Formats: sequence, structure tokens, C-alpha cells
Amino acid sequence: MTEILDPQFWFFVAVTAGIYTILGLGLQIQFGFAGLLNFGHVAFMAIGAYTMAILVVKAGLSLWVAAICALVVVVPVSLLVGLPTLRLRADYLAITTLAFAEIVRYVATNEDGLTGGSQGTINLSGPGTTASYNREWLDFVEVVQGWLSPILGDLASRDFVSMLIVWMIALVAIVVLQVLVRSPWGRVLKVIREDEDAAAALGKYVFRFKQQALAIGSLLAAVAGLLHAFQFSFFSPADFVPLVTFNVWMIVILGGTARNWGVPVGAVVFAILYAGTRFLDFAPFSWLDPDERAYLRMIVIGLALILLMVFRPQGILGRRDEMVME
Amino acid sequence: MLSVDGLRKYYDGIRAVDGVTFTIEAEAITTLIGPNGAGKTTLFDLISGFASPDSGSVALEGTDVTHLPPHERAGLGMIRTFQQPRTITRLTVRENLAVAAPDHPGERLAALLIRGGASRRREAAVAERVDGYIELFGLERVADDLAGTLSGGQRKLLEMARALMAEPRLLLLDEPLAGVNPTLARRLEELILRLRDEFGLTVLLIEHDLPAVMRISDRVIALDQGRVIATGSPGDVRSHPAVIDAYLGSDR
Repeated sequence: MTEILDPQFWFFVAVTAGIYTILGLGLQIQFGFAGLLNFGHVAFMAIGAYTMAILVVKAGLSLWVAAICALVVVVPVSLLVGLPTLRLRADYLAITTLAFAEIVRYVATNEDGLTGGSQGTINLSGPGTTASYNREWLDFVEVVQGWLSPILGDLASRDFVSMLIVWMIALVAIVVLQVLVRSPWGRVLKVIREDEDAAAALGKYVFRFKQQALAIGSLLAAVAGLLHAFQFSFFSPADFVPLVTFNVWMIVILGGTARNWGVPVGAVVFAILYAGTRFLDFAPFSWLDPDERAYLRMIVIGLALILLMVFRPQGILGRRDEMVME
Repeated sequence: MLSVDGLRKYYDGIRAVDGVTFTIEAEAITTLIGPNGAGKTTLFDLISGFASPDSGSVALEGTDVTHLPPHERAGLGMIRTFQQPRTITRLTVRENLAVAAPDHPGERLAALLIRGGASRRREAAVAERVDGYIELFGLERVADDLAGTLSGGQRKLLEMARALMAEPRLLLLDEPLAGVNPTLARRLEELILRLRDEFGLTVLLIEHDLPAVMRISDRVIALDQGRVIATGSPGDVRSHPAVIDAYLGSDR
């Protein structure tokens, strides 16, 4: 029970929550505001992380240059995914993105030469060597630690600094998205979400707006992928399973669809439920062995979602009056 | 203003629109009448680009628009409404109207990020026009409510006001008077006349309310089974034998 009181543990949880917030914001602009059913969000997280790691290890680029390249790569890829599907009904996008994400994961698993295969980035420079891509990130975190430790002492751990950086980025993303969805551009997105024909009849090029929403959301997923890679110093195709996408969906719905501030709320609740179930080591939970207990978190999260949908279907920050509109 | 030439559209062997040809004059009110299933709404879809014809062509002021998507036709000034108002329920009445303003710099991401000032200035001008239409259509009391709270009649008004916000030159109205109480219907009739007289708009409408059609139309086109059966002044068309047959169903 001591771990539950350890701030370092919760800093680590907060980093995860922050990364999920950035992922969730990407899905929020796509689904919450433009009505796009993206079931392959994790693909763009993976592409961001892999592009960066490959460019650092194989092309010898600086981490920061590689990170920017990764973000630049994700945009045209998302536009390509949208190209054949965004003109069709919403469910086609759902199927295509789901399949696309699995293709990305399978390519990452099987193209050992490029991605390190199923062993992940540690294998990036070939068997027998140990590849690392985030030296510059760790150095940077250390510098920030140097600034903060005179004030905060031992509290200023690596995870603490990561938490600050991740949440600062999340905050900037929220503010930018708030500006976007309140702009005339965002107003058109909301029309498209409700009635594409109405938007087209008023002269809006629906396809262009959807592509833009898809690209912005994918860009945010890539940012989350980079932060995930930086924080964990290692990743493999197993980090990009479809479950990640569905966790993000849970977060968006939990926090409130079409509410940017709902995303961090949903992500924090999700991360606490997810991490917190490990403390269920007392009776009756102690009757289960630890492996079985790990699955309890899925039951707890599922139960929380069901209760929420019963008592607050609009999500924690959602608006009830919008929910009941026809 | 608008010319439709040999338009044809079959759905599963049903001849929804079967070789329709007509032209409509600028700054006039032209009405399409005909019994249910005559092909009026399909014709509207073909003119506005929401369906593509099997053959035939549509031209707006001499420009062939047959293969243009709906939003490009709208960009040329051809704005339609729908029989069931396409109210955006989760936006306010004001937002429903403002979103229709054409060529808004704030709707282009690059312009929004680089020249926020242009977007704000335009938005202020748009807000002023929105106020004008809210007043014209008597929507003041509900202006800041979510449009989903509006009654059917109010949604009809909003649908028409929103079409006007899009700055049309040719306005296509699909049954603007249907499902509206008689008092409101009279007001809408008056409004449609004012659109022609004060705004210089060209209006093509579909309407079932024959007395209203007779009052407001400059010209009437009668359809039956996907074909034009009569065109002319309201009086001529009403007394045309083919029109009487179509409506009364005799000699079929």
C-alpha cells in the first residue's frame, strides 16, 4: 500500500494521462467536431514514433529534427487515408482506418530491417546491438531537472519533468483547438458533423474540411506517439494495438463529446482507474492471483463507462441539451 | 437564368425525371407543380447537384454546371432549401445563419492562422447581416436558442433565412409553405414576393398549395410522371386539360 502514497508513481500516471489527453484531443476534433469515425487513431501515433526513431538511429538525425520530420510525414499520410474514404459514408472511414492501423502494426512487426520487428526499437540497428534514440530527450530532461531541483529537491524526478512537458503541450493543444472550434472554420465542422448535405448546399466543400480535421487529429496523435517514445525510451508494435484507439474513444466519450476540456478530464479519470486497480490487493480482490487482478481494471473501467452512460450519457463535461436534440 | 435541357433520371426502371426541358427567367418566380411522385424533388436534386442525371444538362447563366458538385453550384449563386428543413440542431439560430455566409476568410485554416483580423472583420459584418435576417423572419425571440428547440414552422423560416444568408442569385425552394400554419404561410408568400421585388432574386419553387402558387408565381411549370405537361402563366396552366387530368386522375 505504500506505492499509492508515492508521488513518483502518480507523476508516472500523469505522464500517461497527458499522452492520452493529446491523443484524445486529436480524436475530439475528428469525431467530436467533424463526426469522423476514426477507429485507427493509433496508426498515426505509431507512424510518428517510428519515423522519429528510424531517422535518429538509421539516418543519424538529431532527435529534434527527426521529431519534426515525423510530424511532417504524418500529415500527407492522413490525407492519403482520407482520400478514398472521406467522400463515402462515415462507416467506410471507420473500417478503413481500423484496417490501416492494423496494416501499420503488421508492417512494423514484419519489416525487421526497417523497424526492428516485434522486438521493437531496441533491435533498430540490427541483432546483437542495442539501439537507442532518445539520448537528447534524456539530456534535455536532465537540464530541466537541474533548473528545478534547487526548488523542488527530490520531487523533480525524470517523470516529474516529463509530466510538466507533456501537460504543457497538452494545454497548448487544448487552447489551439478551442480557438479553432470557435472560429468560423469550426462552425462549418459542426454543420458537417450534423448534416453534410446542408453544408454542401450552402457551398461548403465538405471533403476539404474533413481532410483538415483528419490531418490535425493525426498530427496530435503523432505528437502523442513522439512523447510516448521519448518517455519510455523503447517501443514495439505491441504498443500500438487497436485497444489503444478504443481507450482513446472511451476517454473522449467519458469526458464529453465535442468538449475539448472534457478530454483531460476523461484521460485523468481513465488513467486513475487504469493504474488504481493495482491497489485492489485487499479482500475480496486478494483472493484472485495478481494476473487475474490485472484484468479487473478492464471490468472496473467497463463498469464505470456503463454507469456513466446510464446517469450521464453526455459525458462528464458534455451538454445534456445538445444530447437530446433531433 | 437557368436552363434545363433534356434532363433524365431513372431509378430502378422508374422514370423519375423523363426528359425535362425548360428555362426560367431572371428576377421572376417560377413554380413547379404536379401530383406526388411527378418528379419535382428529383428535378431539384438534379438542378442543385445532389443527384446526377442519366442524360441532359443544366446551365446557370450560360455556364454548364451539369457535372459540378453541389458546393460549387452553390458558389455560383444557386442555393437550395430542402423539403424537410436541414436545421443544425446543436447550433444556435444565429450560428445556423452565420455559417451560410459565403467566402468567409475565417473558414480557411491558413487565413485563420495568418490573418485573424480579416476573419474577425468579416465575422462582424456577417453578424450584422444575421441580425437583419433574424428581424426579417421574426426570429428575435429564439435567436440565441439552440435551433433544435425550434418548432417546425420556425425551422422553415430558418431554412429560408439561411439560404438567403448564402447570397443566392437563384433560390430553389422545396415546398416552403408545406407544414406551416396558414398565417405563417401568408407571411412566407409575402417574403418570397419581396425577394423578387426588393432583392432582385430569381426564385424556382416547388409548391403544392395551388391558391398560393396562383398568387405568387410569374410562371408555372406542371410536371406529371417525370414530364413537363404544361407551362405558362398561372391561369393558363391551371385550366390546361392535361393539368386537370393529372390532378384529378381521369383518363389515365
